[in-house]
Amino acid sequence: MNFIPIPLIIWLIEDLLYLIIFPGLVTILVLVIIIIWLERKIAAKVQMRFGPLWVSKKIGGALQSLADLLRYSFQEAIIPEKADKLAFILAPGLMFAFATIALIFIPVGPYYSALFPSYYTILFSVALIIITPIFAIIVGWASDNKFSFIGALREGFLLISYEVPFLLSVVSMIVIFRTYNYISAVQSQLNFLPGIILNPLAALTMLIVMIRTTGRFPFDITEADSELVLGLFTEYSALFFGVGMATPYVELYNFSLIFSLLFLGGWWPLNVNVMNPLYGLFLPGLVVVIKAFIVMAILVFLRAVYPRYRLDQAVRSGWSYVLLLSVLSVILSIVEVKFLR
Amino acid sequence: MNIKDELLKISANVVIDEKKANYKIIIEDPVKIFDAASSLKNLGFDHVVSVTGVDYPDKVEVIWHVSSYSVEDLKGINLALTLPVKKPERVNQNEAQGNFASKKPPVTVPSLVKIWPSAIFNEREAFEMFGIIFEGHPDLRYLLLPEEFYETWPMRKDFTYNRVNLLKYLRCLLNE
Amino acid sequence: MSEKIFNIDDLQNINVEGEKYIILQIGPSHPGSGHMRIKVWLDGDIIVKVDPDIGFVHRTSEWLSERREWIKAIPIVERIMLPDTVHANLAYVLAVEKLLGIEPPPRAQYLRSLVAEINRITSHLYGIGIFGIFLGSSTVYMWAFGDREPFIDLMEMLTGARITTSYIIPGGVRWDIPNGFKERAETVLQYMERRLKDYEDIWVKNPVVQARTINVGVLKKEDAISLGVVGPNLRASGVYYDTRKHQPYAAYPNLDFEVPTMKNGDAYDRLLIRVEEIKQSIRMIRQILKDLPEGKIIADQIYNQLNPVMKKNYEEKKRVMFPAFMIHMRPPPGEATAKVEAGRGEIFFYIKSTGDKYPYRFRWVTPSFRNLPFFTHVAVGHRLADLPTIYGSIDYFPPEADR
Repeated sequence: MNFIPIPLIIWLIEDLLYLIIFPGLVTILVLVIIIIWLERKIAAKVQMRFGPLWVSKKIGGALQSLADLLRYSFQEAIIPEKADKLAFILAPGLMFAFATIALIFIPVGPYYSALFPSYYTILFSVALIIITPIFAIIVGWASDNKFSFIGALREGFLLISYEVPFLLSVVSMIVIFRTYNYISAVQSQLNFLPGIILNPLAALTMLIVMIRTTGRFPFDITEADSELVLGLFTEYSALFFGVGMATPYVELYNFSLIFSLLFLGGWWPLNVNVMNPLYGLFLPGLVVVIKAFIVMAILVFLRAVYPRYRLDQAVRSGWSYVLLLSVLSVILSIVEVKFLR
Repeated sequence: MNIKDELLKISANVVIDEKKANYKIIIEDPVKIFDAASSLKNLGFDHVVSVTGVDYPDKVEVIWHVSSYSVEDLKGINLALTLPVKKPERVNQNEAQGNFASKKPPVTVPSLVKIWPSAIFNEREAFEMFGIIFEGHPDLRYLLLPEEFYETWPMRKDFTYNRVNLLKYLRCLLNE
Repeated sequence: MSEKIFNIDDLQNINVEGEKYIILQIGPSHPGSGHMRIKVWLDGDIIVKVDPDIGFVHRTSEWLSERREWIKAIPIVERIMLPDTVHANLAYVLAVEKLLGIEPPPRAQYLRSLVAEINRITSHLYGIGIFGIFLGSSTVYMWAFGDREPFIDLMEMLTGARITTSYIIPGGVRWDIPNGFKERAETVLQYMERRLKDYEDIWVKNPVVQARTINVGVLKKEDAISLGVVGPNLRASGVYYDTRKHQPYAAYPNLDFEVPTMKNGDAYDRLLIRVEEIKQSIRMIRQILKDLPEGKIIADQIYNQLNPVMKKNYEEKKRVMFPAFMIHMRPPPGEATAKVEAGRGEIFFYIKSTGDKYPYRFRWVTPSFRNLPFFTHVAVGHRLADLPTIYGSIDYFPPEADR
């Protein structure tokens, strides 16, 4: 095997490796399973109970989510008679696809990315991420159910009110780093300070938007079960339902990756310049994913503490406090760029 | 305030048994019930606890149990405002047969919802259970029972049901 | 927000015809409805009209009780009010005792109050838990239902059953207090006092809870009186009325306790008042265990009916077995009413006897049934998301309302 250069092979199949193994689909699957298990386990700990226990008892029920996934796969898929069948079937899949596809433009290492190393990765990934809720609205519309429809309307309201702060918080980081590229952004953080210290306002805005967009508590408004049964996914069953339920976690994963790249210094404390398969490609990626995982774990813990806000309260705070916060973060970035550097 | 004197001003027929917590004022004439209720409300009886009927062979007694939240002296009293109503003669011996129970004619009394809004759901219940039509009630529909019991008045003592038909009906429900 | 005072004519005047309104049928199989259907007319997100459609779990308890011996009504009324069994039992027995002319001995009176207060704590915890899950906080739901357990265990220790105790019988109670009960009760009460602080931290003072409940579902004092609302909901609106004070029964005349009242009458006040009442109940249980008088636990009239074996059983095990008198009980003709302050409010009994084996008329009204105007009046003008808030805050229990 000595005459086959491993870096060459990896370079050849890099895109495939990136999208399918790490940090692509397989990693997403594993992480989503772990994060759902962790969410249930932490909540159970707070709530004086055991949480998932019986599937794979020796490792604390960690395979419970996998068992749920299997159950969804073999369940009968029921499609309501009056539903818009094409949209009903396609929308959850497209929603999942667009949530996953944003990963193409999120590099997890200086030399490791899916497609060509584009200069505009931040813009592309953000654009792809904010497409996903549109399919959520289609899901609610296609079901022909009043509860789903109200859930879709709520999703629409929230989408519009939290998109602007999200974009502004990203813009403020672009202003600070003076680049549209994740790799350069991380490099400039490695040279100076992590983004969360440079602009804490933007980090806070981003966290709030992450909670909101992925439907974590206290913004679990579109799926409020005491009001809307299950919101968008009231009429869904089987694998469609499983995919629909997994999508927010995938979104959460993407958001956390972006957060750790823009604010937590990416692959800091590693500063790699060598193109070595282990040190150059995977290790930085591992650091980023671990950081993202910690962010996810903190966000899912909120379930145990907060109940949910009302729609009008969430929309009002989106257009007032969060928008104000994001505008201030842009101003802060401009001030920093003008005077500190 | 002596409650008995006050009550005797409203009607001559007052029964008071403190040991059994039983205060009763009987109005014989349905026309006078509205005035009696108004004067009770002015006295301080501000809410209705229960509206019900008691079925006798020849009459139905409609009882509004009222009490007070606002007057300190009356908070301990459950007053029964009673109105006996004669049942209508059966016009037709062959009563209309319902699904599984026989149908009977209702009786009519004035509704006191205008005076005591708290009677609104209680009067609906008394209507479906005893066949007391409360005239002037804004929303007199069935509350607890399904519509199969229409006009059968199950809490009356002469309520009978046909076991075979009932089983048939239940089977229909199951098959649906 | 429903600013104006309730007027009965409004029910007819609300016009909800036309395509402008969305009609939502919430229930009967809906996570936020319980065993009832709430028909809601929505104008955008604002509730225009609410029609609670109850009766899905109507169990004909009045009909059944009028066709059975007197004593057999106890299990029937208990099973209607599952979180509040002792109070339903107590209210019925009080009415029957008034007909029979029996007065239970002081020790039995104290034991009745004891088990009633334990039951009130479990009932309030149940209500707080359901309110929690309606607002989306599974933590409070799990906590409240978990903390209910020690009290239910206390009830089991005292009465032999967890929920449907059938502990109170005409003339007294069925079991005396067991050994070690007082120490165990003190442990449980101290545990609950510690836990109430946790509840304040995570639930009562939670900013999201305050944002969701303050000024939501306001029931003004005049409305509360005219609509005949009962229990903690009435007192949250500022009306000082408690059956334990104004029509005292059991040992309540001898106990020192306060009746907490609030001012605003919103959902937050209805939450606070339940916490306050738990504190009062803890205080009362301590008093009862301290002042528990010695003596019989059954009235002499019943005790004399016991046969020698039963008397021996009573002396040794402190247990009252049913004499034959109970099943053949024929109270003298007459009518009696009884009121009891249950966890959710006031239970009312009206019983008429003709001296027969069965009650001639058996009428009872449960607190949830009398709290129904909350849906028709208070929910109107709020947003759809406030409906679970209002529903949860009034601690409504559909099987209890349906009877």
